[in-house]
Amino acid sequence: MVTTAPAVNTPVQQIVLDHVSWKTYESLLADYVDRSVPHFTYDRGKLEIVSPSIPHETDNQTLGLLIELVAAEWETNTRNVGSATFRRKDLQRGFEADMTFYIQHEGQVRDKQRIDLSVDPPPDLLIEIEVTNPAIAKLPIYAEIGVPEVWRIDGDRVMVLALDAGEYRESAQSVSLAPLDGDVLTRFLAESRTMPRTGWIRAVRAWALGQAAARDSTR
Amino acid sequence: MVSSAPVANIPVQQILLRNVSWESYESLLADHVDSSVPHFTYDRGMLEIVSPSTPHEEDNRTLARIVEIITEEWMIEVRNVGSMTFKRKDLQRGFEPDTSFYIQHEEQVRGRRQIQLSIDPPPDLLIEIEVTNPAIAKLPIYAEVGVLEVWRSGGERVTILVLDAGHYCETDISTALSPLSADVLTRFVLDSRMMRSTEWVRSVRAWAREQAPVR
Repeated sequence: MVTTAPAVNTPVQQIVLDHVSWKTYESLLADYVDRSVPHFTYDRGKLEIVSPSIPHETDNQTLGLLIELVAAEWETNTRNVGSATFRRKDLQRGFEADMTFYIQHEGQVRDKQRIDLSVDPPPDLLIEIEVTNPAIAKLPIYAEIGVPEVWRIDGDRVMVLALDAGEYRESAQSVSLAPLDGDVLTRFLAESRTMPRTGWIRAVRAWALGQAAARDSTR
Repeated sequence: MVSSAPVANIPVQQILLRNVSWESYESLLADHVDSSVPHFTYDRGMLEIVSPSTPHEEDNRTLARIVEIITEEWMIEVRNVGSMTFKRKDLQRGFEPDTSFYIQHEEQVRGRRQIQLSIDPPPDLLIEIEVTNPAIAKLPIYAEVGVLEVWRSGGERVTILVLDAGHYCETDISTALSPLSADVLTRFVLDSRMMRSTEWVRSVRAWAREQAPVR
């Protein structure tokens, strides 16, 4: 008897399909409604499906936690909607970021079970971990949907991108969480990979507390 | 401006999705009804999607060409349905082989535009080019659907598998195209990579003429 042995451990998986209808995209989203992986990106008939790797997920969770810690110290309300699907049928585009936050518009979505871009605002901040060979360029989709800020992790470096006249440009500081900037984020990400977690959390909190006074004085 | 640069040349792409409904599978198939790639394999909620590479496609076409040449020489009717989708909703399974042929049951599907496994027989012969890490085992699906014979190419060697009591067993000689053997197929595939194409076709034809079975 001959058998095909399926692979036990599969690495990052990624595929792009052309000529996929909106109906199919929605049908797949419905199958995956309560799951955060894989990520589906849809752009006018093109569908990219990616299952992130573990190091990818670790960095993502680290930055997500950093946002929660800093925002709490600064008395800023946030809503972390994780990798919720954002889609606009009228634009024939949709995405699932690694992490998604409402910050400036948190009050508008606080009590919403489901967020619907036809009535709700786009998220204020996305985290995007770069994958090796993206088949669909994500930034033009985020721009089209009107996401004001993207934090992009490219290996070891975190870049803060801000939407400006329909395009993303590297920004000196975070829009939603100034004075956080790319350098501070890069340093905290690097430290998270070596420091004990509790020590790292204390360091982030201490930094945020130190900046809180400066923030208050600029208001 | 910062942009993500999508790559121009994408190698073999492959993904396994779990928890995919039959409706989503059918919807994807409907979107891709006229394209032969990628290949979708469905097995009770699991969906594997694979876009084959170029060398993969070449071995597939070579094996299919051998079938076409030999059947022509031996006056055997054949229908090549390519990588059409075979699916059985009742079994919650579906697949798209690299190439599939009706040979023994050719007459039963002759002239049929749509082939449906609920009323038509399964294909008699499949060509399957092995991929590196298949996430879904294909042979149990072929066995479930009742495909009699599979030719499998794993790069350097072609094997012939025949369905026997629900499992595939390796055999030397093809059932559909006896006395064609796995050794001869392997030799023709290796030859095709070096020889000029017209010369290669002549050599396959010459072999077929010599071996023509008495019918």
